Amino acid sequence: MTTLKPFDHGAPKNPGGCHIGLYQPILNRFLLTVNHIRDAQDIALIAASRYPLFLVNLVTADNYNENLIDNLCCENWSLPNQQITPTKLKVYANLHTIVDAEHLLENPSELALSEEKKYLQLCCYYLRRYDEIIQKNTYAWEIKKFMTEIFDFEPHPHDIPVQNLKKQIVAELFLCKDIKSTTTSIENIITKAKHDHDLVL
Amino acid sequence: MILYFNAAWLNHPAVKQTIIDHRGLDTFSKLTNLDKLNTSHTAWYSRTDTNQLPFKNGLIDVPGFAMPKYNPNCNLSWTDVTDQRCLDLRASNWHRPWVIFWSGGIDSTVIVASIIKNLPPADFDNITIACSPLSIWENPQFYFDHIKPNFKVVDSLKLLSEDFDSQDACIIDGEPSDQLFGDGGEYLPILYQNPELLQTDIIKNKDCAVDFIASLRTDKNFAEWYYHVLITSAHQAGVPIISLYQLLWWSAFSNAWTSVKLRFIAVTNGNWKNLKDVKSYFDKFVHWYDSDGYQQWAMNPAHVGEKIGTRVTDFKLAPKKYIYSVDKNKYYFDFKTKVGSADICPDLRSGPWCCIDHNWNLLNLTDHQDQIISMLPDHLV
Repeated sequence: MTTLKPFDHGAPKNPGGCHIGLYQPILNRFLLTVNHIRDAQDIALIAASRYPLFLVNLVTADNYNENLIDNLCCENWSLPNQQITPTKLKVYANLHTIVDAEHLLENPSELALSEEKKYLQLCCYYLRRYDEIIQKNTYAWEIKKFMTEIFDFEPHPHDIPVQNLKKQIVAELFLCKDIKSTTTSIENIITKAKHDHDLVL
Repeated sequence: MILYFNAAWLNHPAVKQTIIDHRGLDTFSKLTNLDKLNTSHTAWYSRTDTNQLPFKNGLIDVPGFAMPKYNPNCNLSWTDVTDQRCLDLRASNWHRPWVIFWSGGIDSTVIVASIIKNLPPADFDNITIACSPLSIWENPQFYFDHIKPNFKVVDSLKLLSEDFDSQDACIIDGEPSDQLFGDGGEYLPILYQNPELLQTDIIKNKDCAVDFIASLRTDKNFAEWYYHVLITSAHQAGVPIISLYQLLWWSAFSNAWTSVKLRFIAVTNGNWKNLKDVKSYFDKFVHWYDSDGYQQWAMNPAHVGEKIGTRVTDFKLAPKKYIYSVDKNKYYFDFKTKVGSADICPDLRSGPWCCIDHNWNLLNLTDHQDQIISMLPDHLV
């Protein structure tokens, strides 16, 4: 099997770790798996410009084990019919709802889903890359973010460029029509930010 | 005289007692069961001449509420009636600027697609799109490719905070599209998960229809009665009803149309600043899908496939094809499903108004209880 680049297996880092599947109910397939809930929520919000994705806790499935499903094969796994109901579109805007999988069904896909998997991998990759950039360039970022959400602190002028970088990257991903040109655009944005604001990459 | 009664207030002690005292428990039970069919509606009123529902349908002859006589020879396509609707409104309502409420959903996207297709770009200067961040999230490609480059845009929530009387525009929204397609409600996902139900012949298999109506939180006696109401009224209107889907569509088209024509008031009452009465609302609002052309299209049994298809993403297939002909967005075409505003904004009926009187005033039980209770018996059939 050819792996897509960038590629993350999306499997738990440690036994018993978090493992969330991003499930597309119309295709009845998992299109991505990740090991952080926040990643899953962010990607589902971005990919909503194409289709709804539901967050499914894979670990609760009665046949789950850590080697059963990852991003090499997730499109070959489905949910049983009665499990599709909780993912009805009426609740698709509620990304805090995580459906507990009861059972995972092996269901080899005949659909051409490599472009969609590649797109979701791209979202995953750049969200993490941004996290790395902001960690390297913003002292105590998590604390500052927490305090800014609670109180009306103005961001420090030094922090504004790196915060704006996320807006630009996510906008490119949200409106992506072509993976190659989106990748080029995002790389140009990052390079320009590094040049203009001396960011450490 | 009452023209319309909001079923959200049926269980108010004085209302309930008045209905039971004057028409008995059976009538009250029918009203509360009707209310359970789809809780996003504020009432169920027949649009046919032979009204069998509990409330009098005094609005039946008012333009916008009446149902045209079914013409089986009308074979216009969805594209035909949509293009015609756009040109008709351009001819009749162009003396004021247009404000179009765009949610990103299928109904309002057809409106904007139709304008792009049928009107010259010079006309776009007279048109403003009212939308919110949620609208853009629902259909970002259409917003950035077709709305932002062509039209003025305002925040719909900001618009609602401005004085209603100060609006000097023809305000256009996507009502009552759901009624052309059969409401959507809670029954659609059930039908799509049991596809054989979609095509079940409910004339030969009456029990299937009765059981299905009863499964929508109503009771069996009500379901029997309502099945006969629907079959009888469709027969008298000459509208062919064979499948379970058609029966449920007819319920929405005939009996829930009135509620949807008034939905914007239910949603915005108290939110759109100084919206004083229903008359001023109708003076300024145009419901895009309220035309004879659309209603004839909906009544034609040959269009069932273009309404519902076979998969959940086929619902509103004809309008989705229309949008695709303009925006070529395969994701929207392949994956977009109905997500009603009721799904995202819960409890649409929670406004204080209880009924509309013959002068189009909105009355509430806090200020007008004696007046409402004295008029209510005469509103019952």
